[in-house]
Amino acid sequence: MNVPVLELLVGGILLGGLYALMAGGLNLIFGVMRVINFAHGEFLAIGALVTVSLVAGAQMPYWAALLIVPAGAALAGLVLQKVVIRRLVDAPLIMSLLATYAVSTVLVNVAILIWGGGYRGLPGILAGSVRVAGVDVSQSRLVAFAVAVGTSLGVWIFLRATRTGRAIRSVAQAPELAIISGISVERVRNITFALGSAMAGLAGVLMAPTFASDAQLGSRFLIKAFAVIIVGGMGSYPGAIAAAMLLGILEVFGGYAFGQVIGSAMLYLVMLAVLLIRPRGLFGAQVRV
Amino acid sequence: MVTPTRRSATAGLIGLAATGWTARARAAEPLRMGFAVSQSGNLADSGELFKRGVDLWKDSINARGGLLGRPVEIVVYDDRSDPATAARLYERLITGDKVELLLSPWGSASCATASAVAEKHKRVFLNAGGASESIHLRGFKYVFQSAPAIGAYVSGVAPMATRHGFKTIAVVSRDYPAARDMSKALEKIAAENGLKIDSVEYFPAGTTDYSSNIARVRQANSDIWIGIGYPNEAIEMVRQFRAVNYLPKMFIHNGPAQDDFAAATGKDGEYVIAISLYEPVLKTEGNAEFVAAHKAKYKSEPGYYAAFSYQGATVLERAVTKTGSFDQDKIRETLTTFETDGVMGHHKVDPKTYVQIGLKGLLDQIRGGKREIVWPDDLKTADAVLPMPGWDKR
Repeated sequence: MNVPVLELLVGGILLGGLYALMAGGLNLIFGVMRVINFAHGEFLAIGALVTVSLVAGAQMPYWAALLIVPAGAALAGLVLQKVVIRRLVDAPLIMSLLATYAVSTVLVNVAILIWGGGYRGLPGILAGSVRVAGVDVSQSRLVAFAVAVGTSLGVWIFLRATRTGRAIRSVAQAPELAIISGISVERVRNITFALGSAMAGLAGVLMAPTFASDAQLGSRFLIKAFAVIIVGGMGSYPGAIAAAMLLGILEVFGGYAFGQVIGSAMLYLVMLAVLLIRPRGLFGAQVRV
Repeated sequence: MVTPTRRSATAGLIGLAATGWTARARAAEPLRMGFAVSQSGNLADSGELFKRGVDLWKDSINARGGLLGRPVEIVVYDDRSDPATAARLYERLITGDKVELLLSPWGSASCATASAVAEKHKRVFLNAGGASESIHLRGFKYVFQSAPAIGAYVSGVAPMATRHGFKTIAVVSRDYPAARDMSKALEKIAAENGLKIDSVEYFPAGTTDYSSNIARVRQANSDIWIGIGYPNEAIEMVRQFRAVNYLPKMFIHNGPAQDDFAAATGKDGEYVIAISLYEPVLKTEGNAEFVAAHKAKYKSEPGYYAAFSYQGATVLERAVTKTGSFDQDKIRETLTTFETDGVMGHHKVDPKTYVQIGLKGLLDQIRGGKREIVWPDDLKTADAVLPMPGWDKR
């Protein structure tokens, strides 16, 4: 039987796009603040649920959610940073890890209180496919992929080419030196956390049309997003995109050849191998923020 | 001076009063009933619905004066969708909280581990949340199934396939005990009815992408795609079918039996066949009251997750009432041959394995955003439209 290589390849690359979308904000926050934000998945899930409420409930156009939800997520992220993260950012990593885990649990339960325990969806939004080179390509995933690449590129350029971006990078690399140079570390961290949270919100908006949205949506992707960051190199944007594609392709081809149980396990095997052999990640050394 | 006679009379009076007081206190002492249910982790959503059934039953029994005259209190823990945690929690319910009755957790995997703990302590365990038959094939004496066994889920597949001329089946299921049992049941059904199983694939819990499964089944051109798991998986499968312009002739899954499915998928979810085990329209015993109570408390009609636990609690209640005591061995004895009718239908267990054999499955089709019963014929509310009409014909 012929292997439908092109179909699997497209499926894998687009799946990688979703992982990249999820990993983007997580990567930014870790890269700059050295905080592993366990609540990132809940920002995504709540972003998706709010999108459903706005579009299916309040009958707003989908593009409006693309603006409102990331803005709301940025604001929520800023509050989280000011109330919780700010106090823990210089403490050992485990402190912020536990704190964000607690926030994540609170957010899941708040989401269940508001939206209930069931699943929601956005029928009819970006639902169909476009035919490219004999392969039916999912519209929603194509858009998610383009946005993932676009935002990653945008953030990367922002970090390199703007004054604020350079300030963020200097805080990431040497916080003490940044303070001496007159950079407000507090302000940089606020911007970073808000931006990272906005990216989670944006991921939520883009995932709402494809997935069953519920309070747990983010947690189904979080571990894979961590895998992407570890394989790509923590804090590296081009690395994360490349790793996301690699893992997406691996998962789809692995699933086709050996079944999904082994296909998914391959992703974690790669993560483990990278941690053992090259802990900085495949692209960590060359293209760090 | 108080004479000895008067003293003993006074003591006797005090004693009598105390005994009466204790007896009254004992009668009113709440009956503690314990279970674990997934309130976090990947089964949290359906676990919440399962818990609703228990809460509604508790309201109902307490309104009826309690169980053997004692008001019922529920002790509930979160098993985090983790079977090992479920086992630990049942140990705690039995030895720490000393609950007098147990209900099962939600899902076959947790039921399998929790029931082993109950059996070890010789405590009656009514399996209301696990369809897997393997839970009951370990020679346990205290474990009874009130949930429909997996055979009931797939009993309508062969009649539907035969009626519509479908020959080949692809199984794509979440990897858990019930799915493995379903594959076995399907193999038997296929062999008996001249159907062919093209492929059997499992995916781990938490899977969100079905690209590789779609590629494989599309290539084999199987007529029927059947899966068992949870509603989010069915929703995401249908969304991805549509997104890559693929459609089997018949897509069957148990997830669409929950209301969320039709609302979340809209037109894309039309004509999907739902493996259902319960519908609010059924004219089963106590169902009208159950549906009304669910609507009043949760503003929606119950799906089968809530019905599972409500049925289980009802069976346990009636077995205890018939036994007339909370003695575990006596309740066990009652349950071995106990039959009753609940919201899901007739409860009866196999006398050797205690696997549920009374409850029958239903197949629904999503039509106009609602579930219509299309099998069995004596209960049907509509004729099935199959093969499913193409994406451009809706």
